[in-house]
Amino acid sequence: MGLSIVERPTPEGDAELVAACVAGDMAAQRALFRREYPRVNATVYRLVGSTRDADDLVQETFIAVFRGLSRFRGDSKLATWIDRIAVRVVFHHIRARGRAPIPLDVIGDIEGAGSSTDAQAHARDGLRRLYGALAELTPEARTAFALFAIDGRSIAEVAQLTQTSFVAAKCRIWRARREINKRAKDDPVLAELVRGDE
Amino acid sequence: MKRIVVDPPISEARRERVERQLFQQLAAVRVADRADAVIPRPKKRHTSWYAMAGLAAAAAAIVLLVARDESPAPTVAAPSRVVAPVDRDTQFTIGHDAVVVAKADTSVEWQQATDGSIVLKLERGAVDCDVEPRRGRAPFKVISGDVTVIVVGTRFTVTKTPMPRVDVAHGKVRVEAPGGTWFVEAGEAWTPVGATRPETVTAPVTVTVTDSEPEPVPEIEMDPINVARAKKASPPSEPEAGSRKPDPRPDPKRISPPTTRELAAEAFRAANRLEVTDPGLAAANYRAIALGKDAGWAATALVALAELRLRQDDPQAALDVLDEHARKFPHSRMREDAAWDRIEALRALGKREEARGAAAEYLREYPDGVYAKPAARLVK
Repeated sequence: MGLSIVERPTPEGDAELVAACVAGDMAAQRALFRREYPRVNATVYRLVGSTRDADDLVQETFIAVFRGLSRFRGDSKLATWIDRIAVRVVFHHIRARGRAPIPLDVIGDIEGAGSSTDAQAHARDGLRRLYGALAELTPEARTAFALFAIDGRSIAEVAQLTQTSFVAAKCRIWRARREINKRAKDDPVLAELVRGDE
Repeated sequence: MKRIVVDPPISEARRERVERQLFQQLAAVRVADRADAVIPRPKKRHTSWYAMAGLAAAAAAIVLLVARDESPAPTVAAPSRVVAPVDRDTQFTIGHDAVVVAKADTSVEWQQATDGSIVLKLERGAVDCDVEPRRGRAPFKVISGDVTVIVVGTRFTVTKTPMPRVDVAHGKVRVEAPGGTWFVEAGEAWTPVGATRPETVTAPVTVTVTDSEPEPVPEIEMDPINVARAKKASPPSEPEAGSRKPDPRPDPKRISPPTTRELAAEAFRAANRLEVTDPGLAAANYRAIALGKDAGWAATALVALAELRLRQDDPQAALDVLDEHARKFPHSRMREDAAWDRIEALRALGKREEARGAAAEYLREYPDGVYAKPAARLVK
């Protein structure tokens, strides 16, 4: 299973779609949902590591999107605006959940893990350990790290999505990485996952 | 650290299920909105909305109880209580102009008075309120024990447990409390010094929003402030209408001056938030912190200022600030970041050879650094 690439919408398309959604056009709302769902779902899933939680949080995100769409002025890309809402929804979820371990009911295939059952099981075990380690971090550090290291966002994007400064985002990622690496010293499976290229 | 590849399971059935549930919830919301339009100020409008949304979501446990009228003001509607489950927040709307998020394990009762004003009584936990400006609208109040928040229109959070606290996301509020009056601006928070339990604050505290402009994009509270010691302000000449009169007697045990480090940390966070809305003021704040007594925050502020200058396409100014950082704080914990920022500034100035030299120097000092890979690419 490879990475899905979602094209960012053009500003013209955004404006028309937003206007139609705000006017109550159901078809437009569904079109917006279907266009944005893959990216939002991927980001939310990577932040929480659980399909069960991800489904609820994706719904919460889109409810917030549709209820707040009339206030979208187009100052940023629609996709960025939606991503910020998704990150906020997940952040509140993580903060409310506290540091309780997160159940990983489903984990997809892992790129580079090979196709054998053993390799996939090994990689999944690594991810379980990774999300276990993430659960020990502060919500801020966890969110920043997951956006950067798992969702593949740049530090600037992390700063934008978490509405903090570049320096603060970088510090959070660095602190999270330090903690994860510390934990990986005693956990070879986790170490293999996070330091595979070192 | 390499990118950790985690792909979400792709399932059309899952997407369809999420889509179906989502639009069921939105339909419930539309029903509630139509009811709002037809029946002004319905008594149990939101109860119905929650019931529908809660059922559709099948995930949120919203407990609504109709309680007896205990509001201090005469009312036209029975109060409704919202109890958020212990593991998640619960969002609800009041009218068309207030969105309230009851944090996990929060109990809040809301009620509408005869003058149309909305009163939220926070019994425990915290509520995050996003309220439209009250110009021409009925008042909106939040009562949390002895703390009363009178809203003109802003985004703020009132916390009752474990200790009283007011966080302001947008706008500017005035906090009146025993010992003086403080202005708390967006990104800042107010809490009584030394209060570790709710019962430690017994005197009335009044918070009045004095200026506000709601943001079109929902904000994220990614960096809650531990303790905000906002700028001390002169006492108001006249109390705000409807606000509770503060106890004029100061209580030095509750209100003590913040430490230099606390002030610097608070100012740094405020400057951070200002970067988006007012970069000039953010830069001024960083400069002020850099001149402060706390060396750690001063060094951090200089690097933050350099990065701000870089984003403002002013690499020469960034280099000047980085030089100042190196001169004043040769052992700063921000040295690595400063080293990389210097490389970026040199590249932005078109000084490629100097940038390459700086990258080589960075690699010598930080072979396993955060920027080791891009630095290595530059050297090659």
